[in-house]
Amino acid sequence: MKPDRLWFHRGDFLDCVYRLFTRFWLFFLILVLCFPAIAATPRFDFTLENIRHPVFSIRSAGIKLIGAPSPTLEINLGEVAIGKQTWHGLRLRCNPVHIDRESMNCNTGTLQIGERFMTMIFRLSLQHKQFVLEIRPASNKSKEKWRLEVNWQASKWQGVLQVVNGEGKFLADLLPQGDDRIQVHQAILNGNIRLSGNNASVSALSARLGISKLSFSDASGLHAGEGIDLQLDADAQQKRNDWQWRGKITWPEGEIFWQPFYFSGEGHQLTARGTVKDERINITQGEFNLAGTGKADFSAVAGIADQSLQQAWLSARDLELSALFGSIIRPLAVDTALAETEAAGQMNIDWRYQGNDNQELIVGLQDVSLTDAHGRFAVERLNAHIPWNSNEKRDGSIRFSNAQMVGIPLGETYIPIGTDGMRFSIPRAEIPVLDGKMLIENFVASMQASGWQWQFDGLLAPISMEKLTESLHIQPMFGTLSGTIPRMSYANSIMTMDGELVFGIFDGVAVARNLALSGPLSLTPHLTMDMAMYHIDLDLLTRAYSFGNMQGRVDVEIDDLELINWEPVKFDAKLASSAGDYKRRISQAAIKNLIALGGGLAVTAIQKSFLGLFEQFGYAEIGWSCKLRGSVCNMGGIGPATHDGGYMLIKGSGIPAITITGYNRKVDWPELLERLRHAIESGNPIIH
Amino acid sequence: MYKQLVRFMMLVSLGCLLYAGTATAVDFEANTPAVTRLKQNMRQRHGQLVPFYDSGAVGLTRDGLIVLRDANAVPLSGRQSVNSLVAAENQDRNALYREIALANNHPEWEGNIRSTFAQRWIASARSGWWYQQENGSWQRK
Amino acid sequence: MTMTKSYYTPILLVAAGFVLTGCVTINIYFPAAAAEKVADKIIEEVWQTDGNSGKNDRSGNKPGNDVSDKTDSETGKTKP
Repeated sequence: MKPDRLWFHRGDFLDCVYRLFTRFWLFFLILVLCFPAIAATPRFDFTLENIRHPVFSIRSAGIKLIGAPSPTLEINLGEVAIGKQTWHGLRLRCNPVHIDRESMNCNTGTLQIGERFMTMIFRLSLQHKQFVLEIRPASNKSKEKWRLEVNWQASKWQGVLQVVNGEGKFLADLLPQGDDRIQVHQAILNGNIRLSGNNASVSALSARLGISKLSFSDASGLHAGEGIDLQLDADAQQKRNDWQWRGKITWPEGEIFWQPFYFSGEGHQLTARGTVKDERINITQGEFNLAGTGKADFSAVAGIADQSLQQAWLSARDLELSALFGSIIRPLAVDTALAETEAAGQMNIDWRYQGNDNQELIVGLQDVSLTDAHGRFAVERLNAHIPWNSNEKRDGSIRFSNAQMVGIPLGETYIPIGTDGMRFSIPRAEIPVLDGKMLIENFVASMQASGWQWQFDGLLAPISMEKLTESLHIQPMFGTLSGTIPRMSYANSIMTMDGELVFGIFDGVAVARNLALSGPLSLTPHLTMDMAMYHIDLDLLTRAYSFGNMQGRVDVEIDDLELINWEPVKFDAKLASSAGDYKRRISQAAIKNLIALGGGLAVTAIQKSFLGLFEQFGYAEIGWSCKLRGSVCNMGGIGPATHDGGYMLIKGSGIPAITITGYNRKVDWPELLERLRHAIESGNPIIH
Repeated sequence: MYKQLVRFMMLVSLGCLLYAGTATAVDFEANTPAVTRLKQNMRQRHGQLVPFYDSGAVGLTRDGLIVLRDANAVPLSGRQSVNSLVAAENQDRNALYREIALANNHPEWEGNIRSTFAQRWIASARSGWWYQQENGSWQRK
Repeated sequence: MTMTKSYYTPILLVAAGFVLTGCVTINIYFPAAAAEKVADKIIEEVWQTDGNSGKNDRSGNKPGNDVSDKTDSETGKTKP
């Protein structure tokens, strides 16, 4: 019961009806041939060992007619095989059967197929040229009835099969079984099928069928349907060598899970009309209406013998993206960043197919918004026109009013894009980032065996560090971020940057290089880079963090910085006073905070008593280093260790001078950060 | 000479045992922000998965992942969400094995870590849950 | 005696070789026991079990408490 089966395997359904029909037809042909003999003798016994036909075969068929005044007709078929289906022990019994030269009537017959008993009526009238067969399964309380009526005039004939509460499972079992082994558990059929024809060929067919309570599944349950109601309305007529047909399927109720999709019947409708000619099925006009999402018009030409799609065209306007995302896009994108994305807005699709290497697709988006459930990205008022052709270059555009990427807001942007097979390019685009902008040039993305790859050259126009750190929810920093990116590339899910990013922070300069980010949109992004900062103004820095004032300038080098999920797990950091002549002072509050931060810092008693006396102290040099491995920071200070195993953090000079020595070499990094945060937040020194 | 050789071998094997002891006592690191993040994510998801483990719809595979092994145990309308739960869990499990290997500076250990986890997930599974045996067949615990 | 000696020596040498190479291999091998412990700990955290399967809710709160206790004690340790 694959949806496409009805249309592309014209054979399945029609064949089945046709087979049923030929089955009865040939069966009664045998009867009619025997007819003069039956009428002539009171007793008749006829056995056929084997009847073979491309469609069916019968083994050990016996026809018996006994008794003169009220004769009994008995037909036994040992084995009947149609296609792959086989039935054993078919038995037809008519008592009495009325036979004369013009007619044969059986008003109380029974038909037994294996264990199943059915009551049966048949009437054959040569005078009225009519044959009627009615079967009612005896055990069934649902008043199931199958009625076949055939009328003929010369070579023309007409047949009507009427079904009332028909057990569809029986019919489904007749359908050829594919390898997917879908089992129909239940189906109730109501309606009629009309066939008319000439001699042994069918020239017109019409079906009005209702299928209700249909349920099916395969063994794994990955393809299953329950409680499905379907209305089928189809007509087909033969005009010379072609068939002209039209059909409509309505799905008002029930649910289907077809890995990975789930649909529930809400009045979805498929209508189509077309022709069948020269072993090709042609859908000239089709419409698919997916309730809640929108409708698509389509046409197609397909070969019947090789089941190949030769040509197709599809156009859909104003599809509701929220519904389309939920039912189709998200299930297909389980392993991508789109797996947990909510979407809203409208989508247009135009698709033209003329063989695998000649296709065109145009996707249009109108006022679309995309929001990631984890807040990694969001786009608002996205409008796009993306044309794609398998052979030629196409130009399109993407425009959005605002967006957010890992918390960083992006402003209104227009991006021209070019497509060329599986290669996408952006010649130039300017994306406003916070108060600055990012310039992208020569962007090229292509699909490779290892996945998507892309690269671009870029330029960052000054972005406020304060705003950037705020939107990234990390320690606030002040200054600007700018730089040229000679080449940013992405391959094997690793994003790497050639060149240097230069930040202006705290009146100094910071440089980031050797930047590599793997799994940028995964749960666990890894970032590695080297960083250096020169000539940082301590006065600005300590004021910004209200840490306690310090004056002077420092250089910082952070090598092998590694961040996992944006938290540092490894780095070799070194901080030292910059070379040059500048004022070097440290406030009492800053010293107290440093003491609190460092844990085992030693201040001599004399110096300690000084602390209270002066607000400001002079120093010659500041030095601190930290090798972070995991969560442990191995600390050091200026030069080699002191004689008592400590390390000098601040070397005093002038009057009053202060020297600070640390003793704790291994410090818990999160703990250090926590204390720093506390010192900054309180704006007051904490001394234990 | 023969006795000396035996003695030598005894010493070597003893050394080996000690050595093996120290080798296995080597720190096995699994405490990085990535692992923490993945654990959190998986813990949050676990509550949603338990009913499916219980019903046998979802089973533990021999390669340290999970799979929707009997979709018939889930109502039709729920099968899609189980599918995406399973996909998300497997994504996290794969990332977990990779991250632990990276945390130990031995990316090539990923396969060993996966098979260790495969055994331990199964060993820690509640009775009634389904798991895949070495030969690929399914077994109820 | 000499017979036995000459008979055993090559075997012993081969065996010694095995033992020696075995020794080296152990070193290269993945630390299975430690990995198993780590796996058990992670599984315990993710599945919120602590050996007694079934008592999910009670044990569910435990790791959280453990973690906060640990950080507290660590804070205490590193305080001056």
